[in-house]
Amino acid sequence: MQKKGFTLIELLLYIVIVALVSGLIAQTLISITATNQKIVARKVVDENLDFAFKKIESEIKKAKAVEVDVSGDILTLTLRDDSIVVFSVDASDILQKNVGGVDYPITSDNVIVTDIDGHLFSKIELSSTTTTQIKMKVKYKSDDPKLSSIESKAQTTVGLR
Amino acid sequence: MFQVPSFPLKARFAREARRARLAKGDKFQNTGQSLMMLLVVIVIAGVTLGLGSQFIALRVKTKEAAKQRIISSRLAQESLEVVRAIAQEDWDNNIANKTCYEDDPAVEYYPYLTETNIWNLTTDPSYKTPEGAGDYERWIVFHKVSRDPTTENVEVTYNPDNDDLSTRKVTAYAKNEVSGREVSVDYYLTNWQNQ
Repeated sequence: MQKKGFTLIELLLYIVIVALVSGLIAQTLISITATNQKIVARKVVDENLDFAFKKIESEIKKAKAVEVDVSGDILTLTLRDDSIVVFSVDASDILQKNVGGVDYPITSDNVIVTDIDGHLFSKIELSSTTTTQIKMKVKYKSDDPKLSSIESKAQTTVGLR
Repeated sequence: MFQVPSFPLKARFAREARRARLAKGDKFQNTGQSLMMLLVVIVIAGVTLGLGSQFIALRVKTKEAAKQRIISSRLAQESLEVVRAIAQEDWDNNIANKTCYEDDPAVEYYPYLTETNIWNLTTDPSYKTPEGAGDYERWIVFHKVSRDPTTENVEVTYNPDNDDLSTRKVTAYAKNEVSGREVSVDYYLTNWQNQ
């Protein structure tokens, strides 16, 4: 009789411990998965931002003339070989590079590209030099508010060579 | 001759064997094993989850550092472009008159856009954080440059006897105020018009 009672206590103890440990494991796994999703979103945002800046910077360095429209959303570059390159954000919030009438997406459809303070591009002209300032914000596209709040913004300036 | 025991005898042997096993502690051993196994599982799960969490935390830190590096390097790059542009405009009034680190290590310059939308440098610390840059600040330090009189190469250590007034080394810094992560970029500026 004594042995049977002892087994029941053991069983209860076992159930309690297993329940606690399982709960803890499940909670940790949920937390790890959520954090991992945020890391992936952060990576996508930063890679898109970095790539967009690199592309625009390299094209400006090849340009001999720069034009920015009044809204500050369209950057038109005349390259040294007289070809025209246009950077703008389309209706789907993707940064596009237009060469000879053909659009090439620079950012992925997982992100939203916007300006920081009303304009993406600014042309700053001094008497003998021209610089172009780029201020860009890249935001993760998601229905989950925790993921859609992930964004990066940066600014830089590139002068004509 | 060996005889197979009858059924009641067989049942008796089995009962005796079970009693003997119980007496040896077989039952105790079984329950002990299950508890031990549970403890081992808890320890393994704990260690695995602990390592997993540490790994995730490290990835978060790495990603944050990468993001800050992207933003800081763009701000530092902008500072260099500003210095390049204003140097081309007027070397004497925009660059040559700036205090260098060798004269006063405490002097820092901050790029800003004037109301007439042109680049300029100031020592006013209120411009240290660029407009809209949030937690980031940036500054520029000018260094004097000396050249070897025979080779005309820039000397690694500044020698006041061989000072080259037409060259300045510019170091652009950008830093995230929260994490303290800093990026610096060096650039040599030359007054080409003076050559």
